[in-house]
Amino acid sequence: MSNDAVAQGLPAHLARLWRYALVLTGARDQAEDLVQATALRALERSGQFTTGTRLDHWLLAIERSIWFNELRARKIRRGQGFVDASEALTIDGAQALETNISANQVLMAVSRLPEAQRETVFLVYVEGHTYQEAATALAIPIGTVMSRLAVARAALAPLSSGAKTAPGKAP
Amino acid sequence: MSDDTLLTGLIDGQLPADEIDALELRLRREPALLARFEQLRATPPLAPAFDALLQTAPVERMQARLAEGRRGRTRFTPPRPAWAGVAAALFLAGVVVGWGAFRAKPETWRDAVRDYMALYVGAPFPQLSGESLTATVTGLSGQLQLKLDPATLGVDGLSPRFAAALRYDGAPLAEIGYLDGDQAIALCIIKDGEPDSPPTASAAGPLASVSWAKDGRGYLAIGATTRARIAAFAKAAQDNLAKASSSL
Repeated sequence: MSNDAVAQGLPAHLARLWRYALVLTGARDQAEDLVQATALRALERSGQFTTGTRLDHWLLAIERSIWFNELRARKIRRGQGFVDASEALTIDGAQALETNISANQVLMAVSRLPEAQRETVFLVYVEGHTYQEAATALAIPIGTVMSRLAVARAALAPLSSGAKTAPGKAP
Repeated sequence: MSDDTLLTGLIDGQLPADEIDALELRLRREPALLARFEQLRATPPLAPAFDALLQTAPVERMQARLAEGRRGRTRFTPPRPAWAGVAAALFLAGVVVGWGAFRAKPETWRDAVRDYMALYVGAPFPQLSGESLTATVTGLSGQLQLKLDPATLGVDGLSPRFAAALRYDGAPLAEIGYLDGDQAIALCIIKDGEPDSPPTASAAGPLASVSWAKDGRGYLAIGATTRARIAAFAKAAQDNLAKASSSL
């Protein structure tokens, strides 16, 4: 993919980058800043994008790298502690899902998960990463991905009022 | 692997076939395990909630910011023409862009490198193929009149993964990239005729560096690491380069 193609493909992924940024930063203002930094970095590095690989995964990886290696580290150095996503992960209006559980209930439950679980759950059950893709993206063993998901599932299960659905999109 | 982990893998359809067979057999025989399976499987779907969130993304505002950011970059004029060549050689067009935010005008080539590295804290250099790395290093060896090869440039247990032949104010400038854990470390060498100077450590923001000069060449070891780590790296590099110089 050429540099132009990365530039052309980027706008279509801004919303997903913002959503991941919310999960990472736990703050809406920081999420937009993170998306901006990610987009500009991706354009700078578009020559490094490998043809035939997924642009969305590449962008998400850049975003994660910027957050963990730069912005988050800076935030922690300033003594602002770790992330609490409980306020960011909400939507206006109580949009009901098919399971009769509101979207906000689900988002709030996910936001209460520990940071590592929250991110893993997001990549696998929302972004549709395979276990292996998530392990690569998070630079952790696949067994750690599985154990994080298992613990997260156990934590989220009480939310359900009888829904028999997997947390992600259809496997 | 815990039962919950196995059950989660089964629910997600990501267990190997042999493990599926074994687990399904257990589920038929162990009511408690089956109950746990049903409990975990009842976890509500997450994707629809997050898709609803997606609909609220401030896409237009982000697009506007991005457009403004890109215009800002293209408006930027590098303060020194030499740096434009550096950026181009690094095939990182646009890198210079944020430069203005760091320093109005770099005073020396070392300042320019520090500015550049500050943009890439936490981001590794690309891994060049062995053939490409060797070819670049061979070219640098001639430009710097210093016997260099990928083996010589192995420093303190780190192998070079990236090399670029740059120029700064007309002088050949080599940038050798390493990956130390998850942090990039660069060793830069310029043949600019500067007088000898002893190793001097400094730190700015997340970057630690050691600079020195010898035999008309300036050196800079720099990375987002500790002062002690960059000092050890610089010492090992000096030892290697002394051997390279003496073998000419």
